[in-house]
Amino acid sequence: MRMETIWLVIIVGAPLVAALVLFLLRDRAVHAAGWIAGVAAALSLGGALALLPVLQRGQVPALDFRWIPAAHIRLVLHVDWLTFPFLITEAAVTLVAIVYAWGYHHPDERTSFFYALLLLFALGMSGTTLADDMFLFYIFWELMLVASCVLIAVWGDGERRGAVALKYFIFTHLGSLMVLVGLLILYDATGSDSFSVLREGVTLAPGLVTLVTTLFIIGFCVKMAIFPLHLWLPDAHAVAPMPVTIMLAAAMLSMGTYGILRFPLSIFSMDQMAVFSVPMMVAGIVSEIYGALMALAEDDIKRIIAYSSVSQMGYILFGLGTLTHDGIAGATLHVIYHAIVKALLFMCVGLVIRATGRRRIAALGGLWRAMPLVAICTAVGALAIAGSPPFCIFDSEWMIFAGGFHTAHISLPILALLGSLLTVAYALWFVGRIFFGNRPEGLTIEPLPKAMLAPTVLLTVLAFIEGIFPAPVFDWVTHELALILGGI
Amino acid sequence: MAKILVISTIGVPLLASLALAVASRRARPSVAHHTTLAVTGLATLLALALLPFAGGGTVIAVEWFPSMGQMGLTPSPTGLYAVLATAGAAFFTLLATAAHAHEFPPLTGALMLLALAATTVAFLTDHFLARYVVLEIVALCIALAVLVEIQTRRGVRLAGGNYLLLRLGDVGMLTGILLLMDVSGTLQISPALEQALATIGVAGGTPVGMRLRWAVAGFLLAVWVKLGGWPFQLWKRGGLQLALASQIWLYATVMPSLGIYLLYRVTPLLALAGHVHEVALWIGSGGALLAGLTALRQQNLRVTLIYQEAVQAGLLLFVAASGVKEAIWLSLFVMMPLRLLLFLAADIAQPTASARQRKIGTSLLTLGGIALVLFNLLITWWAGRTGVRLDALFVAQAAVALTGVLSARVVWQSLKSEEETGPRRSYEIPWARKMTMGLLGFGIVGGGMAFGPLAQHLMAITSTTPPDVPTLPTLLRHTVTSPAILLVVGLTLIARKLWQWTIQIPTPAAESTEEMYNLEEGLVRAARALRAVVEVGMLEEFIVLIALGAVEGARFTYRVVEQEGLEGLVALFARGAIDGARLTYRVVEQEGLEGLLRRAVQWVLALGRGLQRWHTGRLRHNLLWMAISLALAVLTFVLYGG
Repeated sequence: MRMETIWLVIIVGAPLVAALVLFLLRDRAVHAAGWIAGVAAALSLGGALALLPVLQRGQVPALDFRWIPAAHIRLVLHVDWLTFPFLITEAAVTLVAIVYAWGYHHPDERTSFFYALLLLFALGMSGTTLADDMFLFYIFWELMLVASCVLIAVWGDGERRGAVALKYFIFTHLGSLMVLVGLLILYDATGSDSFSVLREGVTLAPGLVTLVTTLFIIGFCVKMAIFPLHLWLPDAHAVAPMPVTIMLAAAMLSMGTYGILRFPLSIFSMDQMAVFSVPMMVAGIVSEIYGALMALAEDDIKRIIAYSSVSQMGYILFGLGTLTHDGIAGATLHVIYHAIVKALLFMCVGLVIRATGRRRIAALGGLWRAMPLVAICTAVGALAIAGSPPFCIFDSEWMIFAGGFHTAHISLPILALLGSLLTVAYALWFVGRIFFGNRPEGLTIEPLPKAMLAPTVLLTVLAFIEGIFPAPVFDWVTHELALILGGI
Repeated sequence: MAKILVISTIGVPLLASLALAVASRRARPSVAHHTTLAVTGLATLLALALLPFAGGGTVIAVEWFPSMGQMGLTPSPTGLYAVLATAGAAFFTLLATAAHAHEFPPLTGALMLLALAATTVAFLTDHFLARYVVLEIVALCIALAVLVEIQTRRGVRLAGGNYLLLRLGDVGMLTGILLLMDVSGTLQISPALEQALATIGVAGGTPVGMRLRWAVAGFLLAVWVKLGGWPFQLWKRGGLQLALASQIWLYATVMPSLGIYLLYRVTPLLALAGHVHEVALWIGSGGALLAGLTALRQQNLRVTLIYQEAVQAGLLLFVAASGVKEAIWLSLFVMMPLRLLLFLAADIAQPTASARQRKIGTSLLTLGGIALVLFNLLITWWAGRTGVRLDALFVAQAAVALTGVLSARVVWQSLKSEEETGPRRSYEIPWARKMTMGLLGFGIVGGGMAFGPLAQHLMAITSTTPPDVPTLPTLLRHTVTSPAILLVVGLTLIARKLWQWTIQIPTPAAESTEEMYNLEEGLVRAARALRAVVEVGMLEEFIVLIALGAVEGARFTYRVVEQEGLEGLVALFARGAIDGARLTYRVVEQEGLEGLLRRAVQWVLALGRGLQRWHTGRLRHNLLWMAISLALAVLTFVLYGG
C-alpha cells in the first residue's frame, strides 16, 4: 500500500476506529474519551495535511476496493484539489470543536458516546468529501445527518431538543432526497456511479439537465440553509451543544457548497449552467439580506450567530452563481474563512454563556472589563464577519464581489455590497451590546476553562493570519478551479 | 535610501502604535501624548527627507493577494506632498493640544499613529486593493477612537453609526474599484484610470461605458462620504464628543484629505461620465447650499465648522465636475492649515472662555473665514471660466456667499458673547497652542499673499500648467458682479436687519444648540407678525412677512431635514428595518405564514397526523413553509430553465 493511500485510510479510519473504541468502552472511558477523540481528530487532520505534497506533485491519492460485489458497489475514496480545501476545513473544525468540548462538556456516563458521535459526524463529512462514488457519497451524507441529529436529540439544550432534532432531520432529509433523485437520474443516464466518469462529461436531454441541476441546487441549498430553505438552521444551531453547533455551522454547511461544486458545476458546462446564474445570485442576495435582518431582530446570542450563517451562505451562493473564476474562487475561500470565523464566534458565544449563564442579549452588557480576552476575540470575529480587512473574510468577499462585477448584471453585486452593510450593522450591534455599556444588575462572571479559551484564541489569530497571508489557501482554490472549470 | 525612508515613514508610526496599544494600560497619558507627538514629528521629517526621491518609481512591491498584481509603494510627488501635509497636520494638532496631554488616552495615540501609517500607505500606493484596505483601517481607527473615549452605550452607538456611514462610502469605492478592474483588467491605479479615461469618452452608452459611469458614481459616493458632504457630515459630528486632538486630526483632517486625494485622481473621468457628471454638478452645488443653510441654524461653533466643511465638500465636488482638477489638488494644501486654525480658534472662542482668549479666537476665526471665502471665490471663478452650467454655478456661488455669511456670523457670535457676563475660564492659552496658531496664521497670511507662486510650485509637482490666478481686485470685481453672491448677501442683510427690528429675538448664543421647533414660540411670532401688520406700513409688513417666512422656513427645514427628516429618516429606516425583520421573523420563522397558508396547513396536517404527535406547533408551520418553498423553488427553476 502506498503512503498516500495510508494517509487516506487514516483520514477516515482514525475517527471510525476511535468511535468504535469509544462505543465499546462506554462508561469506562469517561475521562479518556475526550483525549481519544482529540487524537483521532488530530490524526485525521494530519493525514489530510500529509496529502498536500502529494497533490502538489500532481498525483491523485485514491483508495479503491470492491465493497458489495453483487451490487457492483465499490468503495472508492480519492482526494483532488476540489476535495482538499473542504477536507482540511472539516478536519480542522472537528479538532477545535473537540478541544473546545473538553472544557464545555461535563463528563458523565454518556461522554464516550458523545465523543464517538462527534467523530462519526466528522467521519460523515470527510467521507462525503472523499467519496468518488454515488452510493458511498450518499451513505456518508446520511451518516453526517444521523450522527448530528442524535447529538442534538440527546445532548441538546432544553426540552424542545427532540422536536428540533426531528425538524432538522426532516428538513435536511428532504434536501437529501432531492440530491438522491438527481444522483439516480445521472446514474440512469450514464450507467455509472463513479464521479470520475461523471467528471468526464454527461450527455443529457436539455430538459433533464435543467431538472437534475435544479434538484442538485435546491437539495444542496437546503444543506446551506439558503432562504427560504433555512428553517432548520436557527433551531438546530441554538439547541445543539456548542461543539456540535460549531461543527454544524463551520463545517457541515460547507457540504452544500461542495455538492454544488462537485455536481452541477463539475458535470455540466458553463453554458448549461448559465441559465441558473441569475437565480442563484438573486437567491444569494436575498439570503444574505434576510439572514442579516433576522440576526438584527434576534435576542438570543446563539441564534444571532446562527442567522448570520444564513446570511453568509448567501454570499457563497452569490459567488457560485456568478459562474466566474473570481466568484467561485471567492465562494470556496469563503467556505474556509467562514468556518474559521463562525467557529470563533460560536466559541465566543459559548464562553459568554458559560461565564454569565445568560443568552439574551438584552440581559448582557459591560463585559469588556471583566472578559477582555473574550471581548477581543469576539470583536475580531465580528469585524471579520463584517468583511473588514485585514481579517480573512475580507479576502473572500473581495473575490466574490469581483466575480459579481464580471457578470453582465452589475446591479446584483451592488445590491450584495449594500446588503453587506447589514452584516456590519449586526456585527457591531452584537459586540457593542454584549461588551460595552453598563453591566446589568446581578450579572456575575464565572471563570472559564482554558480548554475553551485556547481554541478561541487560536482561531482569532488564524482569522488574522489568513487575512494577511491568503496565498497558500488561494493556491489550493486556484488548483481546484483549474480542475473543475477549465478555462473560465 | 528611498526604500529605507519609505519603510521608516510607515513603520515608525506603526511600531509606535503597537507599542502604545500594548502598553496602554500602564502608560501615562502625558507619555503617550509626547510619544505620539514625537513620532508624528519624526514621520513629517521622514516625509520631508523623501522629497528628493519623489518620482523615483516603485520602491517596495509585494504580492499580497494572488492574481491581483503587485502592490507597490511609490514615492510619487503628489502622494509625498499629501503625506507631508497629513503628518504635519498631526504634529501641529498634537503640539497645539500639548497642554491637555494628561487627558490623552494612550489608545487614542495608538489609533492616531495607526491611522497615520495607513494614510501614508494610502497616499503612496498605486494599487487600488492596497488603498482600499488602508482606507478601511483608517475608518476603523476613526470609529474606535469614539469607543476609546466614550465607553458607554452612547459611545457604541456613535462608533457603530460612524463606521456604518464610512462603510457606505467604502461600498461606493469598492464598486468603483471592481468595475474599473473589470474594464481595465488591472488594479494598478494609474494604468486603470488611464485606460478608463481613454475608454469612457468613446464607449458612450455601451455596456463598457455604463460600467465606467457606475464606477465613477461609486467613487463619487466614496468621496462624498469621506468629505462629509451633506448629509454625511453626521459621522463627523460624532467626533465633537472627543478630545480636541482626535476631533481635529482623526475626524476633520485624515478622512477628508483622503477623500480630496481620491477626488483629485478621478476628476478627469468625471467630465466624461455623462449623466453622472450632471448629477455631480448638482449634488455638489446643491449639497453645498443645503449645508450652508443648515449651518445658519447652528449655535455651536464647532458644529458650524462641521457644516462649513460640508459646504466645502459640495463646492469641491462642483469644481471637480467642472473639470478644474488643479483646484482639487490645491485645496488639499489650502484646507489643511485652514481646518486646523478654524478648529483650534473655535476651541478658544467658546462663550465660556476668558475675554482675552475669545479675542484671539475671534481674530483667528476672522482670518480663517476670510481665507476660506477667498479660496472659495477663487475656485468658483475657475469653474465659471470652464463654461460650466450657469444654473449650477449660480447655486454654487450662492453657497460661497453663504460661507461668507457663516464666517461673519461666527465672528459676530463670538463678539456678541464677549458682551455677556457669565462663567469664564481663567487660564491662559498654553504657549504651544499660541505658537501653533501663530504659525498657522502667519502661514495662511503668507500663503495668501504669495498664492500665485505657491500655486505654481504645487502645480509643478503634478507636472501640469497652473491655472490663472486672478488679482485680488479681479476677484473682488467678480464677487460684486456675481448675482448669486449679491442676492445672498443682500437677503441676509435684509433678513438680519428686519429680524432685529421687528422680532427682537434673544441673542443667538443664548439659544440651545439642539433647539426643537416650538409651537408656542411660533404662535408668539405669528402674533408679532400680526402686530406688525396692524402697526406698521404695508411695505414693511410685506418685508416682515418675507423675513418671517424665510426664518420659519429655515427653522422648519432644519427640523424636517436635520432633526426629523434626516436623523428621523435614519431612525425611521432603522426602526422600519428592525420592526420589519421582527415581523418577518414572527410571521415566517415562528408562524409560518399561518394566516395566508391556513388551508394548506390543514391539508398537510391531514396527511401527517402521525408526525403531528411528535413535534411542536412551530415545526408544523415551518414544515409547511419548507414544503411549499421546495415545491415553488423546483417549479420556478424548471420553468425558468426549461
